Amino acid sequence: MENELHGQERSIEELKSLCVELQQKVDLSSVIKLALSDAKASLDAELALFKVMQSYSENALATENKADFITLSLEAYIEAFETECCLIFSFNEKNQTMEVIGEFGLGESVPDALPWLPNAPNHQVASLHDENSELLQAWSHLNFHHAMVCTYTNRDGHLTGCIVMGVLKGSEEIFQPLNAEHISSFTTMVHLTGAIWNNRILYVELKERNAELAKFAEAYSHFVPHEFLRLLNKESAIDLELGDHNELVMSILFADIRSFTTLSEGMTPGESFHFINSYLFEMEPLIKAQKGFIDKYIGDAIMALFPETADDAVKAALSMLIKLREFNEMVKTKRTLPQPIQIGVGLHTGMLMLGIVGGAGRMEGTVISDAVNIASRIEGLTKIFGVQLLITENTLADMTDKKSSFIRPLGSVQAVGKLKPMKIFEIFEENDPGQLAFKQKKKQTFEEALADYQQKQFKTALKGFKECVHDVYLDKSVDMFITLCKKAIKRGIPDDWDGVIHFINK
Amino acid sequence: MEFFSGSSEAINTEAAVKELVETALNGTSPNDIKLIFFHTAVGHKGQAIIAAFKKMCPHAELVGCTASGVIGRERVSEKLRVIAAMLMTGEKDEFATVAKDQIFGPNSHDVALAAAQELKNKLPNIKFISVIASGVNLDADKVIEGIESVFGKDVDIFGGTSGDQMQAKHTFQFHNETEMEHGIILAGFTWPNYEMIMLSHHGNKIMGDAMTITKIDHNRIWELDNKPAWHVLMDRLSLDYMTDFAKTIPLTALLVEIPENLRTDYHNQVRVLTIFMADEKRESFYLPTNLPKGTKLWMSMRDEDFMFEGRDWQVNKILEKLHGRKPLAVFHTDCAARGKKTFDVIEKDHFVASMKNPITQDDKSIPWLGMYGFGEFAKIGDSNLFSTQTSSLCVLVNKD
Repeated sequence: MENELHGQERSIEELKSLCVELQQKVDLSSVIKLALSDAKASLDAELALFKVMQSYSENALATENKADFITLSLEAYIEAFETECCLIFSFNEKNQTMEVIGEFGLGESVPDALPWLPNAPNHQVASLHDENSELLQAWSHLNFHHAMVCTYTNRDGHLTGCIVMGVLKGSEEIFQPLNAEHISSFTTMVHLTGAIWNNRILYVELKERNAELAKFAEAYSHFVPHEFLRLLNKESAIDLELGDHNELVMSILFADIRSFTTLSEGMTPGESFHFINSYLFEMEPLIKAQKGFIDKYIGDAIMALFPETADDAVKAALSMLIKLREFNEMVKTKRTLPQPIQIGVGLHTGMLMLGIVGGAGRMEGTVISDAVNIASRIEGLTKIFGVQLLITENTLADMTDKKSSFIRPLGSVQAVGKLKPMKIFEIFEENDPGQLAFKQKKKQTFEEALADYQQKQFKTALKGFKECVHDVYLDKSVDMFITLCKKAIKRGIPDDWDGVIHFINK
Repeated sequence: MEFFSGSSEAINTEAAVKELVETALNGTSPNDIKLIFFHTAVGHKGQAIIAAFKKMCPHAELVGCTASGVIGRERVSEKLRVIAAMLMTGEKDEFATVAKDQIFGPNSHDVALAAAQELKNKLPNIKFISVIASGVNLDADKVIEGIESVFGKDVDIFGGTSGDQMQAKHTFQFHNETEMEHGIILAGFTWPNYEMIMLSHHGNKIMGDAMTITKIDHNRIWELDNKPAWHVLMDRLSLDYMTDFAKTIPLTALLVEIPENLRTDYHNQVRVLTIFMADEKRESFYLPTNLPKGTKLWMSMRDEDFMFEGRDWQVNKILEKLHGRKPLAVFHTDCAARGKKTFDVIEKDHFVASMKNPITQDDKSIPWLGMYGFGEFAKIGDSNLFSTQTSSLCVLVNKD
């Protein structure tokens, strides 16, 4: 244009015409500028819609309950499409109605359900309806000026509900109308809602089933301990199969109430169960606290396994003896039993075979091992030696804390049915304080007497053992060795005598 | 008087008001709030907003209007459900509010005068008046005349006219429990110790030859250059006469000369008057003021460079007048056509931040309430002036 003007002589008319042309171009440029602004605004709106959908999908999955999900969904539609009202319906197939499960912007005028026309759109693509459409005529109570409708389905493709948004009569000049440009994004968002809704249903079902499963697993864990499963490298009892097994070194604890049969004679069966359960209730956590688990209850006896260290088993046994004192104090105060109870605890460490045994109809986890029998026998010996806690040489060898101030040897024993003799030791750490002090004081004398006994120096041994007798505290072990020494002195010993004490009874 | 501002984009009205009030007050008791100015986009229902504010701040008088968007302390937003407010404490002798319904172009002077008289009866020594009025069919110059005939020309008028979603069909005003579509609300303040620094600027330049008003009835222009007025404009823009009116709003802003004594303070020789309504036959149109026959009008073209330059001029002038003082509160009216019709989200944020940051000295706690409405009142130099398509900033500070 500039070139056209320069260097040319032009008439007034020509210049006027050029001016008009120029002005038209300038005028047009402002129209173009506005179109550009509109395009920018559209882009902003698209971006805003995308952000709403993104935020919606993130937050909807995290909603805690159905009501929150519905509220969040309604607000997301209103924000995304900047419209007046939104309804979420659930389809009632039997009544062929759409039941309102949430609304925004309509208030109290919303009925509980609306008819769903047989020929209503059900192709999962949004459709736009004006107030004269068949659907909005059927839903005239809602007073829509225009609305957009899209259905959603369940996992099997069956109609589940629909979402409707729109502008009410009287508001059409306030809210921007919904138009064909909204169809695609509305459809996408409804499908998103449907998917999240279906996921939520699945999630709720899953949660309920998981809760049931957890309950079942919890119940089952009372019978098959988690630790047992873990040691068999199984996640759950469901994974167990006949023949599953694992070989491991463990410490085995046996604990038994002394004279329970006599004790229970004065009780009804109900009282006996109550008593045993209250005792076991106190003891079980002490075993768990030391990383052990109860393999089985045998009447009033406990069999527990300690997969990690022998120290764990010893700590658990000592805790049980402490707890027993408290238990007896309580029993004494409440007078629930005629006398305090005593327990004996035996520990042995050895190779175990854990596994699943049984038949097709019933199976259970069990431990097969000679070590278990030994631990049981050792527990039995606590009665004979009159001690609270006996351990075998294997257990002592595995202990990092040897408890040398609280331990004394009780010689070698050969339990019934066992080929090999075994050294046993008493841990007297939880004896009455007076007895504990006396045993500590006489520890060396006792050990020397025992050595003399094993070297057939029975008279010297007898003298030593007699020094270990206390006026008040009964020490059955000392008494037993005194008796054995006296017998040996009086009757002599066989040629193959090896110092091992043999027990005939279990 | 203490000022607090907040805004919210929450969809649920009650939740939005709650969020707004809690953000604004940050621990101050809502019971201490005596006056609330608010602007909301049209998505929220008026009665729901009123109920929510009354629930949150039971002792507050309410003055509000719809807008195309808001400019809050925290955000600029033109979402359909955005709301922003200025919450004020204060005593009975510091402020008073009145409202009148059914104000239109021809009766603008009389209704404004009646409102001003009622306001003066309530509180005589008012020095500042905030005007909120209908954005459709109002003669704003006559509103100013009406108010000045009661309070004199010394009174400082600020505020704006309500907006909608750029359709120019239904805008609403709120006063306490009352919702109006054609109302005017005056909120008068005594503020003996405060000063209000006000400046406006638009970014429009004259485009083409002048057109002369040859037939006018109040604020309805029937003819330009002896031709149907609307036809003249559409011909100039090469648009069909029946083009969707809402789409023509940003294009048909007209320019009219302002008195010479205001030109320096206005940084321009013309002000913008947006056409807010055309008749159904699309022959005549309505301006927000009453101009004498023979007045020259120009088509305008928005010049973005001029907008930015004008914004910087305006901010620098305000900073100059602040003398380092921090504002107590800022009341901001901006034209709806300067929102999404001009800028995208990022540009708009940047544009507003370029005003906010220097004026508040980057202090984000300074209360700021603005709206994208249909027109802006501000005192330019010694004169109260109404114009459209401006950014009008009214910065309240303690007197020097």
